[in-house]
Parts: sequence; structure tokens; C-alpha cells
Amino acid sequence: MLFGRRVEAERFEAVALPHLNCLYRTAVRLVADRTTAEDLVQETYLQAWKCFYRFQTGTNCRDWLFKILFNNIKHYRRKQIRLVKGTEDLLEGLIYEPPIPEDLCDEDVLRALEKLPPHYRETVLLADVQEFSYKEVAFILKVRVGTVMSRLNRGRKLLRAELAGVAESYGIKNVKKGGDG
Amino acid sequence: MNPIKYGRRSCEQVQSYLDSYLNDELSAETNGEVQRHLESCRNCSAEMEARVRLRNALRQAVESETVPVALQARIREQIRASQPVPLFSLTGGRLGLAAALLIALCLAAWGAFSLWNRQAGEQFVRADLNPLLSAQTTRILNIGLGDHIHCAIEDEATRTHFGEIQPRYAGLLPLVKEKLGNTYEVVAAHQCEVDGREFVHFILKNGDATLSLAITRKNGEAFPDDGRAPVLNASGVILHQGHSPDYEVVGFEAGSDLAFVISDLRREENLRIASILTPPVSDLLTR
Repeated sequence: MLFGRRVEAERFEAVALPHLNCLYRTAVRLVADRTTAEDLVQETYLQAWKCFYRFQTGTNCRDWLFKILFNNIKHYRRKQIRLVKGTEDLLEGLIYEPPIPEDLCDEDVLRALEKLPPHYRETVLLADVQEFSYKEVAFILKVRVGTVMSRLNRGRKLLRAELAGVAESYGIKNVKKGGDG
Repeated sequence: MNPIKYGRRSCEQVQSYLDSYLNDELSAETNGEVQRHLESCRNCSAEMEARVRLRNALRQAVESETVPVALQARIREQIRASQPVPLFSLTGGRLGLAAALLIALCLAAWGAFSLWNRQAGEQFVRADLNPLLSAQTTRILNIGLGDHIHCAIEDEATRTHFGEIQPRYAGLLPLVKEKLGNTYEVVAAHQCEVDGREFVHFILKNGDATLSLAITRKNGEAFPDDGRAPVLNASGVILHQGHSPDYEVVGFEAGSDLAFVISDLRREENLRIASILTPPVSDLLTR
């Protein structure tokens, strides 16, 4: 029985640990600091391990781990003071898509990402970076597919608007799109 | 679906599909139509390229984050720490192989027996552990224990932490926080269903200890007054107490509801908490 438990731990590590980097890199973009992100990821793995006997081999471990992570992030956020930001005001009156600078550095992109409200940021991270499908994102975040689509659309627009602000600081002006389609 | 035609209106329509096109979420037919439009429309094609560039920049930026080297080692360590200690580390290798094998066989036999007991539903309140309880009381206590095991223990990773609660029970959450908030954190408050029965369920934690307050409508059940077990009283409300190998359960009636306090705490501590909660919970439910 002891031997069996060790084999089970090794099996869990084999299926779950390959997703560690993705989980950590997602967590880091959603919480206040790297230490908290590490703690959340560790807690995620511990919870997943405790429930591993219910996990069916061959089903999607990555979805399952991300769902646990987002449960933990949601729980963590409830303890934090909410900062109400006016970032969504950027969407008002944005009738054209601003250009995206060619030479953005990682820092600029991450700074713009950080300015997105959490529910847009997490949708963009899951769909655009982690390449989950709409259905998978809906499963992880426990929302409808329509909500995923709308948050992704607005999240991308906001990100672009934030980066346009960076572009202006580089001297690139926003020009209204014209021409025929 | 009508094919998308080339033209100004078509560009607006195509651009409304670009998000889903980027995520490969369109049907094959629509995907093909968008693709054909992009091949022949400079503006839409430039817009698509911009979106791809943004997505690639985002991926690169996020993936540039260095993952702490020690994180994987810590995770492996905590998994190992949650396992039983291997036999030979206990013996220190000083016992002979035959003696070590004998010990291993005994442990395996005991382990198999425990495992059989658990698989037979022995994690619930049992008559052999609670000889003074009637079969009916045991059955009722196991209603609450079943919800705790299913929701607070087995489904820990994926339960809804906080969900909508019917107005009749909504006052319980602030009550629980007021009475136990100094030492316990409410980690979940929701309605759930176990074995076809609906519960209002509050889950609290204090370190490793997990405690549930679970409420369910009576379905004809009532604790018998047969004088078999010691009567416990919390300000006029009779408490019925039982235990399983891993959990302590206290149950009481509150009007048309059954209420339970279940935990993995020592018996006295679980009973103490039940005694704190019972009077106000009972008052609220019987108003």
C-alpha cells in the first residue's frame, strides 16, 4: 500500500508538473506579487494531489489544474481591497482600432496587461496566451461561452488602447482608419 | 449562411469575426469565407496582421517570466510529505529482512482492512462506534455528514466557494461570521445537492481543520426521543452527537429544517462550536 502511494505520487507528478510553468506565468499576471503567485500555484498542486484519485486518466489535466488555480485566485481576490479603475473608460468612443507599435518591449506589454481589469486580463491570458478554447475558458472561469467572447473582445481592445498610449509616447499618432473594405 | 461578399459592409462583418477567426473558433464554412476575404482585402488583412502581432507580443512577454527553480522542488516535497513514511526509514535498516517483511505484511493487512472498511461506507457514523445511538439517529446524522464529505472534503478543489443562497437562509452567513469569525474563516457558502437532497452549506477553516454547518429541509425525518443517548442541550435545543472514524457530527432540529455541525476536530471542540451556533441558527430558522 505504501509502494502504491509512491507510484501514485509519481503518476500525479508526471501528468501535472509539466503544466507548472503555464500555471505560474498565468498566476503572476493576475495577483499582486510573485510570492503570492508561488503560494497559489503550490496550493493548487496540493489540492489537485488530494483529489487526484477522482481524476480520470486521459481527461484534460491542464483544464482541471487551471480551474483549481482560478478558484484559488478568486478566493485570494476576495481578501484584497478592490481598486476601482477607470480603464474601461478607454473603450468609450473608441471607434477605431489604434495601431500597434512594431517595437514594443515585453515590459510595455506586461504593463498594459496589468492595467486590464481582472476579468478581462484572465480571459485574454487563458485564450491568447494559454490557447484554451472558448469552451475551455468558460469551464475554467465558470462563465458562459458568450461571456468569454465578449470579455475577450473588450480585453483585446483595452490592451490595444493601453498600448496606443505607449505608442503616443513613442511619437506614433493614432490615425482614423479609412479606405474601402 | 450567406457567403460574405467583398465590399465595405463586408469588411465590417468580417472584422466582427476576426476575434473568433484568430482563436480558430469559427465553423469551417465561415472560416473559409473570412480567409478568402482577407486574401483579397488589404485593410482587413492588415488589421488581422496587427491582431496576430499583438497576440504574439503578449505570448512572448508572458512567457519571458522566469519560473522560480525551487518551486517544482517545493511542490514535489509537499506531495511526498502528504504520504506515509516509508517502512525502512522507520526501522533504520537495523532489523533483519525477515522481520521487516513480517512488519510490512502486517501493515499491508491492516491497510487492506481499513481500505475495505472505507470502501464499504465506513467513513460514516456507525453503530459499533456509537452504541447508544438509535439506527434512526445514526441515519439522520449521516445525512449531514454525507454533505460534508462530498462538498467540503471530496470536492474541495472545484466547489463553488460562494454562491446564491435562498433568502430564508441568507441571514446565516453573517451569523456564522459573527459567532466564529475570530477563529474560523468562511471559505464557502452556497447551496448544493448530494444524493438528490439540497443543502445550504457553509464551510469554515482554521489551519488544517475543516468545519461545516449544513442545513437541509426535513423529508419526514425527526430525531427519536428514545432516551438511549445522553441528551445535550444548547439553550433549549436538543443536540444529537455521533462520530465516524474521521469526523464528529452534531445534529439538531430547527423547525422544518435539520441542521448539522460536522468537522474533523476533537469531539469536545466540535460540540463546543455546535453549542455556540445552535441557539442563533435555531432562532433564525424558526422565526
